[in-house]
Amino acid sequence: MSHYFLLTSTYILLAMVLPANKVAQSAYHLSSLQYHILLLLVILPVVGIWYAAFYGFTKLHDYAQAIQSSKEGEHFKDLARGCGWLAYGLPATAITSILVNSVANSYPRYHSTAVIINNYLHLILPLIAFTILSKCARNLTDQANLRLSLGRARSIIILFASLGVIYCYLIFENIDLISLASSNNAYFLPVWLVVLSLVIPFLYSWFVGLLAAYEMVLFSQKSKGLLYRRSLRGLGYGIAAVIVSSCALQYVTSIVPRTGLLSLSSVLVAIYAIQIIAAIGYTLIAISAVRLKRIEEV
Amino acid sequence: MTELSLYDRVVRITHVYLGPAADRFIARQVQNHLHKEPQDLSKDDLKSLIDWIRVAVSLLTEDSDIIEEYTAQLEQLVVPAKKEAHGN
Repeated sequence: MSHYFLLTSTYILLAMVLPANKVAQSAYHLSSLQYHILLLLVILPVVGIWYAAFYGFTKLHDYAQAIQSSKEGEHFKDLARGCGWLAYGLPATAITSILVNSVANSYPRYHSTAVIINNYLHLILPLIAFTILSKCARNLTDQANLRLSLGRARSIIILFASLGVIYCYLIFENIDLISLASSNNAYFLPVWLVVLSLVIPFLYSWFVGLLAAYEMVLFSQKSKGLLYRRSLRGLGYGIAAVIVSSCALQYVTSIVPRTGLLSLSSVLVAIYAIQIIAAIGYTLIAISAVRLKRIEEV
Repeated sequence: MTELSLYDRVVRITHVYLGPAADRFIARQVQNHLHKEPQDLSKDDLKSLIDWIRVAVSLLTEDSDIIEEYTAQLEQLVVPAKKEAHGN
């Protein structure tokens, strides 16, 4: 948890010392002091959610350490590693964003660079996490001889296709499709590059993530051992909540790229709601990991 | 077909309740409380082992039905030993 306190202090310090955003200041008629106080109020719940993330990750890591020499130990280690990428990804993304946005605020010519960096950062860290989680969810279900049923696979494909089509529709609304080479859009990238390096990887990331979430729930519901399964249930739902909320966060923030402005809008409320689901997920992971670890201790 | 050892039979019953953690759980009870290696578990140790398991499982769940059901199944492993004793 020492990393959590270090990263949180860094983030709060940066938020307080970096210059106020002029556009947001004039939009909400705020002085520099008022701007920073408002920013602090906005980020405090966020660092609370990070606490849940780090706590959940730490407990899962402890459990994975406790069973490291067992058959499933390696898979739980991967599970903890995936959750770690998601947990560390939260402050890493926020700190990088606040830094690049601050540069862009002072030097407007870097605004496009800041948007591009933010977009790729929001893509890459969860993509790594989902890939790790997907691998270990598959290994755990394989080890427990569990298989995704055809009906469930179809449901996931329908859900994924629907979300994908809506996502593409919303993305292409922000893009001038007359010229594929044009960078005159909210992403500051040529259309072909947006499609190849953002849209497709995001869709891949969500598919891998949703599949991993489903497999973890399946594993937690169908594993052998009545008491083991009871302890595991929270872990399955927790991982699923964390993955789904992470996908939702990417979904919301990538449809309209973040500009780095303090924005008190419905998007902020949606982001809070999504992050609260993630916090509940991490709490479930922590509770479940503590229960599982108790089995290894008595 | 090779007959299962007593330890394996205890683990097999425990697997229904503790799944993949069963083997580790029983090995720990045998080593920590009976001060034996798991493969050295004998029928004479069963009663004591079941008592320790009852204590350990009651720390994991408050559901007394499950604890009773689990220990009752383990106690069935003791029965043949009693029969043998009567036979002698």
